[in-house]
Amino acid sequence: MSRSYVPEAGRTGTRISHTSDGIGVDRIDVRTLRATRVEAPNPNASFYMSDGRGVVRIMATRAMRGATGQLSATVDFKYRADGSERWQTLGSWNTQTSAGLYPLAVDHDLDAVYVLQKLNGRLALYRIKLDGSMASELVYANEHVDVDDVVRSSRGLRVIGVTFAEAERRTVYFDQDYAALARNLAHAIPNLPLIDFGSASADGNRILVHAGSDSDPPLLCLRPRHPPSERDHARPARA
Amino acid sequence: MLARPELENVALSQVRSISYPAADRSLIPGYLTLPPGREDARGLPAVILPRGGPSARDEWGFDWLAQYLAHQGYAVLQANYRGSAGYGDNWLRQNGFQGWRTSIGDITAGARWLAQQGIADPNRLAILGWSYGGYAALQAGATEPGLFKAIVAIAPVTDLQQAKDDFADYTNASNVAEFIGSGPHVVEGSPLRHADAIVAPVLLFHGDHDLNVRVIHSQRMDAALRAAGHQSELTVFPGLEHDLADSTARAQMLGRIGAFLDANLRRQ
Repeated sequence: MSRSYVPEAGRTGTRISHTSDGIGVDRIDVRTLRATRVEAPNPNASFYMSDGRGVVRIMATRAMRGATGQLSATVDFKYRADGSERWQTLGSWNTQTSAGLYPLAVDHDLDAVYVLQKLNGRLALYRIKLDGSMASELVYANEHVDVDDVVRSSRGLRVIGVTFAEAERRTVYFDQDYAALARNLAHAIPNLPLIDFGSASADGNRILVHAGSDSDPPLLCLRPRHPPSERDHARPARA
Repeated sequence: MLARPELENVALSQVRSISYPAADRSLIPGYLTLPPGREDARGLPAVILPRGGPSARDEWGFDWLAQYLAHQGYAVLQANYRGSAGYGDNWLRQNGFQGWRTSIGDITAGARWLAQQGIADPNRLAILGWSYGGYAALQAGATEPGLFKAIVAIAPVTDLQQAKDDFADYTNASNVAEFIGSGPHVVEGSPLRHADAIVAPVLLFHGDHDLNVRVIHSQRMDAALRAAGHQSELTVFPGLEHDLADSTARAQMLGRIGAFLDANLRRQ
């Protein structure tokens, strides 16, 4: 969890005041709410990204315009190779021109990060290895529109696909199980073509599905991923 | 599955993906929402609904604002005019402020297309938008007076210099100033500076805790329109921010919009 540190001000007559400044990362024990520090606060940090298994792999920092106190239009990204503490340069992103690369998600199993990067003037999805080689491959590009995000689900928020909006929003699933599930759901509920997988139980057997259309605001329902057992039946829930 | 009892047995509209030619014949993609059960109707009163942003886009799906207007009997057109994001650099261009002439031109071309298609009655067109969409509604009213018979602007930017000044005390002041840009377009592209040209009745809504677009934009616009002898009404929602995320306020706003459009588009 990100923690924002704000230095204490206005305390006079004491040298005991908090001077930490910036954004760091804490690990929270959800049973006791006890926090332990994972990343020390960095005054230039904008956000961090983990591998979905509790290891921080990406740090975004905002560059300043000299000593003006003004933010520049550039966000810089650094990464850590697996098992390393050392930050290495991943790339940067211009918030005004969208030039450069923008990380979306770290895939733990592939030891790679998915990034947005332009191809022929449109944002495409690339995958860059985080093993130090910076080996980059094009994962998906669309001839008409920008790719805008990856789709994640299951434990560790695995990357299961890529999404973009043509006349209607579409998702291309890399994960064949989810691809088949999306096809089956589209047949089962033909009037709600906008299907999203919201989340999944830890064992991956129950999935939260978001289904909607132009004339029907999205509904949430809990769906067993496999044929239902006696107590494990689909039921609608309020969105 | 009874997920929203309030909407049970309420007919909602289907949204159709369309495209129409801009002044330079570029094809502008958009979405058309017609009143439920009146998909074949001709000569409908219509609302052009330019989205906020400017660097964003509309998508096919459920949109409460478009659905409300369609339910009230209006054809609703939402265009991804040039300056919209999602279609690559050639479509995004400079952005909807620096390239306001292209963006506003594409939006007003949508109104003409709706009328030429026979879907809309050319004498019963209105324009309504939120944030940049509100800016676009007012600016379209200034550049093409007479095209729209009613203008609704929710939390609109009304003056580009004011929009830059709003961020003077923040760390993103330089970024905002560069995004909006400098030059003649700061005055030419500001509806506040052309209040005398906006002849259609204007309805404004704004939250007084809006830190994205300050309430002063609507207050100055309202005052300028009144000073020019034009009809303007401003509702300020106390304690609300840019998205007016409050069901009571939104319901009140929709009710007032419905009555305002009815008064200016229906009874002629």
